[in-house]
Amino acid sequence: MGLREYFKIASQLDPNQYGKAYGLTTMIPVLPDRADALEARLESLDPLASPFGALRQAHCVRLLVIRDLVYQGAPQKPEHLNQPYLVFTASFDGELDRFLRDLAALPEAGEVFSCCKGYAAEPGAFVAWMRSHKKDNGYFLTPWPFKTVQDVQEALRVHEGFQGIVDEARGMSDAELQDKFRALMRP
Amino acid sequence: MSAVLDSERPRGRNTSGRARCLTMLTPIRPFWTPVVWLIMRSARYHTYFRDHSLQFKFIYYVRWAVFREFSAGEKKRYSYLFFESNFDIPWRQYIDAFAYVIPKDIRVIWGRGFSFPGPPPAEPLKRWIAMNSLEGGHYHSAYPQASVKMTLAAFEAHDRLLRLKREAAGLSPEQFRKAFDAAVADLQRHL
Repeated sequence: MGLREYFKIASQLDPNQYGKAYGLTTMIPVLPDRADALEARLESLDPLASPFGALRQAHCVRLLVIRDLVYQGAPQKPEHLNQPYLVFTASFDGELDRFLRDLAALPEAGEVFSCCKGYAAEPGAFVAWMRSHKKDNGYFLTPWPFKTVQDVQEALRVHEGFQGIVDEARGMSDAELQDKFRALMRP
Repeated sequence: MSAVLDSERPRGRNTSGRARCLTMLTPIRPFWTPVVWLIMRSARYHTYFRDHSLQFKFIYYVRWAVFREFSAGEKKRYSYLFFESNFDIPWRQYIDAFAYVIPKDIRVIWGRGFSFPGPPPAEPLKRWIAMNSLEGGHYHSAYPQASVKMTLAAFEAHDRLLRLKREAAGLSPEQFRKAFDAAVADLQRHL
């Protein structure tokens, strides 16, 4: 990391920001009679065709239901949750409110979050509701704090395509090679 | 046959292609909470934790959060440390790496938790993590096909190829071939 990037990160006052990345951490009370249905719905979603893939700024998203706390043994005094919680975390690019508005617009978001107490479908109310359940991170970290999802995907596309050109380069004329490279590096 | 294949597709839980997610929520002893909080909040101003954590090229995103109030009206006796790591190797290898290479860091962050088995060795720590790992649910990664090493290599290659693109603007096909070969030589480690 260069000095410029270091100072950019060091000057960010929001502990959830790290460069262009934002780490959202939420704990949202689940309606007691909906916990089973919510858990089943989450586990039925295909991770390789996730509805949260429609959030173009999201690098990763995690949702799970917790029903109680894990007792560690003595000398801890046991304690329990009063209600189940949905843990919703996301690592994404840009601003929180924009992300939450995009999240609110997903049909599956309504399906999932309507199992939680106080859910509001209207985008502005949804943003405020989610913010009220946000927990600030102590520390949030990534090896590529200034790369967006599109930066990552474009780099991976070019890298893979270039390897293909390298494999075939010996059998191509110079002009074909140049054309292939131009096509790969399209604007 | 297709029904069988469909049933074998990974669904839910904490993996998405190469990416996987470890989530834990563990209590902190009361006197240690301010220390953990201070360590976390000061971490962005120095490179110690960053360099130690990211020396392992398998972490995409990682976070720690400390809180005592789960929701309005539900405040616990203890503060809890929420930990989430997104990474690309089997979690047992992940723990081995941390337990043997940076055991002091782990002891500082979790060491004042209850029943925490300070590493090394790694096996008791793995049992403790298995006990506290929050399973189930759903996990999404925007680039499940790519490991962290693949992604870092792709950034290096992309930067070099953008340079080649700029250089190649006015080159003849023959001159381009030479520039291309030079780029391939520069990128040997990343291909």
